[in-house]
Amino acid sequence: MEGLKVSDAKLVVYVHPSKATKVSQAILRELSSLLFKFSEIFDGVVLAYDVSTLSEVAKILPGVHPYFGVRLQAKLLLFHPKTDMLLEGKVVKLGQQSIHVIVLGFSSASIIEEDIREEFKYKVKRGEEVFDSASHKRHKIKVGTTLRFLVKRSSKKRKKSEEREQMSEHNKSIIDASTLSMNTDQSNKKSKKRRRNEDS
Amino acid sequence: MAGALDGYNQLVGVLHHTEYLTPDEVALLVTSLKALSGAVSCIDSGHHESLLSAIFGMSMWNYGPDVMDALVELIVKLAASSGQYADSCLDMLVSNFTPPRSFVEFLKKPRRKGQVLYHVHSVLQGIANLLPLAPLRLEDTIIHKMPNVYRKEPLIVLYVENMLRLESSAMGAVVGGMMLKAVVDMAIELDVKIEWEDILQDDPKGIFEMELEDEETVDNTQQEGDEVLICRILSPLEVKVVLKPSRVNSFTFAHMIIMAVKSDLKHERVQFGLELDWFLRIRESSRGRSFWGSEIAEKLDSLLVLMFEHLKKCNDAGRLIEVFEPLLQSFQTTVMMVYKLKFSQFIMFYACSLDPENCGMRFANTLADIFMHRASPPNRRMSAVAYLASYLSRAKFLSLSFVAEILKRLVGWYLKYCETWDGDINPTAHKVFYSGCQAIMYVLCFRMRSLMDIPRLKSLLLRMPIEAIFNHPLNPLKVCLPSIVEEFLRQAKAARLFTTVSEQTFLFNNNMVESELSRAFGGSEKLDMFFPFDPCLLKNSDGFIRPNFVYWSMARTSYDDDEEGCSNEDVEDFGGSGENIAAWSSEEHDHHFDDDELDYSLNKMSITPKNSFLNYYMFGGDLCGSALQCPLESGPP
Repeated sequence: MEGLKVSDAKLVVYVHPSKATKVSQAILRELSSLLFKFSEIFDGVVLAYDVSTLSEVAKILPGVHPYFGVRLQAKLLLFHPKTDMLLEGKVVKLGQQSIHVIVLGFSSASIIEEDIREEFKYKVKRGEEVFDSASHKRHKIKVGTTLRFLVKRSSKKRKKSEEREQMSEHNKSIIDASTLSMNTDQSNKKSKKRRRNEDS
Repeated sequence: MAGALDGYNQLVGVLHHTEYLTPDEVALLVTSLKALSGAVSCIDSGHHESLLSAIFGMSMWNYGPDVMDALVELIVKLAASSGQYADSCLDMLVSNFTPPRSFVEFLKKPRRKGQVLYHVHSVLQGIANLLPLAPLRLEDTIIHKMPNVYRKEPLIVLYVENMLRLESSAMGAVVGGMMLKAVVDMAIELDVKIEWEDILQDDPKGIFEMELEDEETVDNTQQEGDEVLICRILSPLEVKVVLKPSRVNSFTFAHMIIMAVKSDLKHERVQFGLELDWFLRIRESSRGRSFWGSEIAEKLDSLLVLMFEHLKKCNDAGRLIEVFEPLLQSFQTTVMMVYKLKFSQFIMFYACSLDPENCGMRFANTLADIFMHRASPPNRRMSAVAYLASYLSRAKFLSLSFVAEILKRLVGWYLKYCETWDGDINPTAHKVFYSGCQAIMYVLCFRMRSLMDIPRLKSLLLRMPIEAIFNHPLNPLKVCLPSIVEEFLRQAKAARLFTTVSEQTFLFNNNMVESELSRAFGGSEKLDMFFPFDPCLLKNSDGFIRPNFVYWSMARTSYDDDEEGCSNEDVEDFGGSGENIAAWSSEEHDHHFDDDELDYSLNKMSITPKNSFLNYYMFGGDLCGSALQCPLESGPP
């Protein structure tokens, strides 16, 4: 799966003086607030971090509240899908006009009808929605199938909202996808498809 | 070109049509919505702005189930198709928590409410399945759109109902904690807006005049003119209430009476010149006249009832512990530190009553830990111990051995404190210590008799070095609230708890509720007179609390003879609605009075016969008992 990368980062976290006795807790909390949000600085959605302190000495900022800056070295796992990348996701919803997929458990993608290969037809069998392949008899897409697809467009939405004295950023990464087709491997229930792009 | 635009405008027009839809129009609407669902990918946020705003402006409350189904499908498709609509979809759904505009018409259609809420919540769940990060965004939206406390009560209640429903849903794992905290915050906001009428001036010997409305001519005989209501409470408090035509709020009036009575209850000598019969008439006739104060109280009442019902449901489903955590956190950060909350703390009380072993004990231990934690600010510690004392005394569901354990812990702490510090009385410097000592005394006033009745706990109690603490130069007996100290010493004497300390050592000549010393340690926030779990005065909530609550009238004291212990049955018979008028049996009445040690005289009680006193629906039966006996309920905050 493309789109994932590990970056090394040098960070400075400014800690409020009241947390001077529990600095690591404060640092971890600060870094956790970055998770699952798109950051332009890191160029991606932060999925995980591994942090270690660079220096035991911290610089104190002058001002009303003397925050002190702790320097850190961190490894960050970032996710930033770009166009024409191959991604995998699990199908959660099938509709006549679209297939909805969730990538890495947090990012959602939708594949619209025009981008689904012609060979797949939407059917409802025994109450279950399924996309049946006309050319390969046992090739089916159902809810729970893992799909591999090509990214057509990704949009990052950022919203700032204030909540209890915290500025938090919310990110929604919705990817419109088109896919590559390849031979299927029925036992893995994976399928690769290629779809034509169209603007949605 | 014009033709295409016409079609578009027509479509938008169909969506705006809300009232009095004929079946044809309904069908048209449904078809349009379904068509839109299919064409979701073609909708453009720039070109189709009016269409989108029409869709997001729709309210499910206006339509029947067919339209709701179609609309729901459209919303899900919109949210999933592109991130730009997800926020608007969530906003729209949260707006649908409550009906639009005038909701009175919707109250006439109760089925509609069930349908709408079902649809709204299933859509929210559907969106959460497709967009895993949606619940975070939803949390924000819900908090921002919470109605403020000045909105009408049914609206607030409905919104909170939605929030609690979300908490129980699958999304509850993510948003539940936040929802509960927000509801508690709203309860606090309502709570602080309720005003006690100040009955006592700062000087406890003061006399004040209140103006009340004279609804009907009073036919009871009074001493001074028809318009005077005298609640004479034997000195030093004399409450004179003059009636004049002006606004009255029966709720406020009830409070006044309660406060007036409570403030001087330690005397056990209460004289009510004018009968509560009369008060009843005021109450009934002032119905329909609701003032700001009592409206807020009603809202708080409904909110608390909602919370209690929700907690009960959670307990039945076995997930009370999950719900308890955020409540406890919220308690420590907000509830505890708000100055003199009136009723919101009962949320914790009720939660604990549902699960005494886990939640109940956890709460007490948390409070004890906060108290003993040196680094916390003193006010926080004093508040914690006040809560602890009130809780241990009032919670019927706590086992006595647990109460004894906590007391032992506290006493151990005091002993260490005494050993560390030397010197004389200094109320401000040692305020934490004094508030702690007062706490022990308060708890023992309620529980001493019961503890003494169990041999194992009795020996535990006798072994506790309480005497050493009271004999210390810091002299807590002189500094703590005289009313409590007096009652405590009286009970201790009857139980033979001490050998060296005796009642005569302390002179309480002015029968004051507060002494200067106690005020000194209480500080400006009057933490010396803070008993947070005093009886709940909100009508409906009280019904939930009552079965688990120890009223002072129910508590047996060590100087009671066995037969004269106040029987609980009458008190517990009172339903929460206050409609049961349990006659206060005269036998019981006599029991209290025949007891010489309590120094009553029946003549001094000019309380009118049974029914009037007890029709005090606010307070149910407690007033009867407490009016006579309780020295320990706090004065007005």
